[in-house]
Amino acid sequence: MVSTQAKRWGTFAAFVSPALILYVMFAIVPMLMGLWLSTTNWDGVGPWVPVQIPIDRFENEVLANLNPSQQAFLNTYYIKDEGQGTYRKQETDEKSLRGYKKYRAMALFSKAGYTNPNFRFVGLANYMKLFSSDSEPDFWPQKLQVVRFKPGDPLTKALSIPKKEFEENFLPNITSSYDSNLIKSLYRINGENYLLDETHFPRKGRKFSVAKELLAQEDIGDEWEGFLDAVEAAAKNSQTLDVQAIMTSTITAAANGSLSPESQTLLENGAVEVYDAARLKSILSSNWFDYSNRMGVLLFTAFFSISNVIAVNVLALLIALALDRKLKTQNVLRSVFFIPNVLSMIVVAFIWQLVFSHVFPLITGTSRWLSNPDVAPALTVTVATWQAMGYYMIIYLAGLQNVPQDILESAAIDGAGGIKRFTGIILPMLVPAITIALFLSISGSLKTFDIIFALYPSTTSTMGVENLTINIYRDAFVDRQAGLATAKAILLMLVIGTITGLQVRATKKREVEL
Amino acid sequence: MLSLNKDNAVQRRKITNIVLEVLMIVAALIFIYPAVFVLINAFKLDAEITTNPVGLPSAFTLDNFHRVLTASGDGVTFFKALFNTLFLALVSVLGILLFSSMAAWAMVRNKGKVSGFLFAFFAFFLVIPFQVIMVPLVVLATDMKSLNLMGLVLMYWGLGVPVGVFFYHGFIKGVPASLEESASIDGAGVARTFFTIVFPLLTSITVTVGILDIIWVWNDFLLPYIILKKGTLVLFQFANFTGTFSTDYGGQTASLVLTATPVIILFLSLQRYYIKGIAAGAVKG
Repeated sequence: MVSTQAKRWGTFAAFVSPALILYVMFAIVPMLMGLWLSTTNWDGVGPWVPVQIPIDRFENEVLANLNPSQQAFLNTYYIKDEGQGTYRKQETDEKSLRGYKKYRAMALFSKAGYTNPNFRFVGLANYMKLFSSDSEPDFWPQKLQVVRFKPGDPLTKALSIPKKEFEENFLPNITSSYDSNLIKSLYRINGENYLLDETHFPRKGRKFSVAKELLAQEDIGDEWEGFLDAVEAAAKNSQTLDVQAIMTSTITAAANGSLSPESQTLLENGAVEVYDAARLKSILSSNWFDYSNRMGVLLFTAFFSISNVIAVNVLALLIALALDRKLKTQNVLRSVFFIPNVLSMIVVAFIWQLVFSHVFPLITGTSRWLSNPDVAPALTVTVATWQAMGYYMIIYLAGLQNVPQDILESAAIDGAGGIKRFTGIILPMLVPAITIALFLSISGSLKTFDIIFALYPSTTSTMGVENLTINIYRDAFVDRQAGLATAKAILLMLVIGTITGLQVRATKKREVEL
Repeated sequence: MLSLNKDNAVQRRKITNIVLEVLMIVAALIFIYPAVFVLINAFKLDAEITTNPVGLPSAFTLDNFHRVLTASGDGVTFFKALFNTLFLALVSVLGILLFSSMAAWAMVRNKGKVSGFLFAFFAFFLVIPFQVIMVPLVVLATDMKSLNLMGLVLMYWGLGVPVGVFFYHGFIKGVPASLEESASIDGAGVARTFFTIVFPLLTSITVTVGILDIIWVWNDFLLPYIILKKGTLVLFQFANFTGTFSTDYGGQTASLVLTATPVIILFLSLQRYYIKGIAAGAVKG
């Protein structure tokens, strides 16, 4: 009897162990470690054991408090460096402080009472930081200044500036009168926009229009390139254009007075064009801004999640209702609506980037979509909804299968209109499907990362579309505050758990049994 | 009186159905347009994509595809990336299927407090957002020197098993134990019983979970992004993301088409199981 019992438990353990061990090792242990990390000040990159310690501290504080075998262990990895006055950590491939050795070293240090400044216990400091009023300015709404013309942009981006932006966000910002006169001379109003006087500037794709002629001039030779570079540099440094000086310093023929008048004129004209172009670019990139309101991380997370949940569920339900009528093309339609859901988030983001930059301008006439901070939040919701809707459509279709057709038909015969049938019969019977759809869509939208990250790889914060998960990622891998990031993640976990817990309880109460 | 009402209702229903069908076809076309847009443009020459984004290609060309297939961003060619992703997806998913089915079966056939606790323990996973374990996973992988493809496989096993157990558990509950009992009377060992008798019965749920997990692993972005060092082993989507084709619209569209096609083919051929699986999960709650 006993042996069969033992054998039974033995097999049980054998069958359950692989899954259990893997799960514990890669989900539970990391979660616990995450909890632990959130109580430290680790930056995510630095080593957990100190790299170097001053000689006196190592010998008097650390070694003094350890027994000989422990001292020997540490001494294998920490070598005295008289010149630096420290003990430095020496690691080679065979002799490295990895894995359990690292943890042992950490334990020894803490036993001796030495704390590593790059990795020490700070208790709930990270959590307290989140609740104090002056940290995390990104969390709260702010007025954003968006640069409209980056230094490397081509002039084609500034061919047309909307009237309001020109008069409020550009011209007034220019401080030097030379610069504002230049701008006023180069831009003419035409209807709703200020247009750049293109005739003044070199044609696109060529450095300047007289290049061909200059190239042919023998007394200039190759030196025209150096000349133009010097002109551009003068423009960027806001120096006045002294053509003669630049000519003398870059063209040998000019320096020894043998420059032909023809070449002289060519150089002068070319200089003016290049100078003005570079000057214009420099003025544009330092003065042309756009102001918009950024929601801040918390508000955007809320906005995104709520909008996404509503949009996804309403659309999915409507489409499911429409497709549930045994139409001829039903299966094909169902697959078409579902396909976006099998695409990777990166692919979805890139598809929509192409659509927003190529198709939307054609249809609507507005060319700024993704780069416009005023609509960016709404666009992220649109793309995320497009991707997710198919999944919930399936859930609602499945739920609709459970609604008995005969009850619906008799209600129709009795004169109940479509809406009445929906609210009175279908909706109550759909509650289990709604429960699960809400649960998945709420937790899913709060955890959304990939798709927003791919739409705005490095500009989520400046565009006002940074949600909590992206903020956490930024803290951990960009701003080097792994401890803080994990603390935020723990809070996020609690928030998701609470919200979904409340939601499931509320909707389970309304479930109707047949 | 009654029959007249019914006839009217049926007639109205037929018309509504036709109108609805047309409406839905139009809606579906609009809905899927972004993907179609990318597909059409992949066959256009670069210049035409800028001048004529919306129309059909005037000169059908496979140039872009050729460029993508022969490009090597960061020293990794397209086919190597494809192979990496394929390896990752297949090995991860096979492991998940094997381990979850074994665990779920043992739990269902040994009802009791321990099994109940284990089930809840696995279900706890749904509450953990990835961000909590993000950094620790990197730390663990660095410690175990497993910042590589095989290390990733282990992680996907650990992360995929809870949901797998969930699905198998629900399914196996509906599988009668009689066949197993007669096998054990005949003297078959437990392992043999499981692999030769039980597992074949689980085919439909295996296919469902398999497809779900393959698509998940194939499309997953953040975990490989933080585990694999850039420039060494690169998966499919990275080429797009790291800007190998930033202004090369032709290359970008072709790359997107190539990345998305395997998954779409997989989905279309097995969609019955996939959709059934999602629906089953929804109904059972």
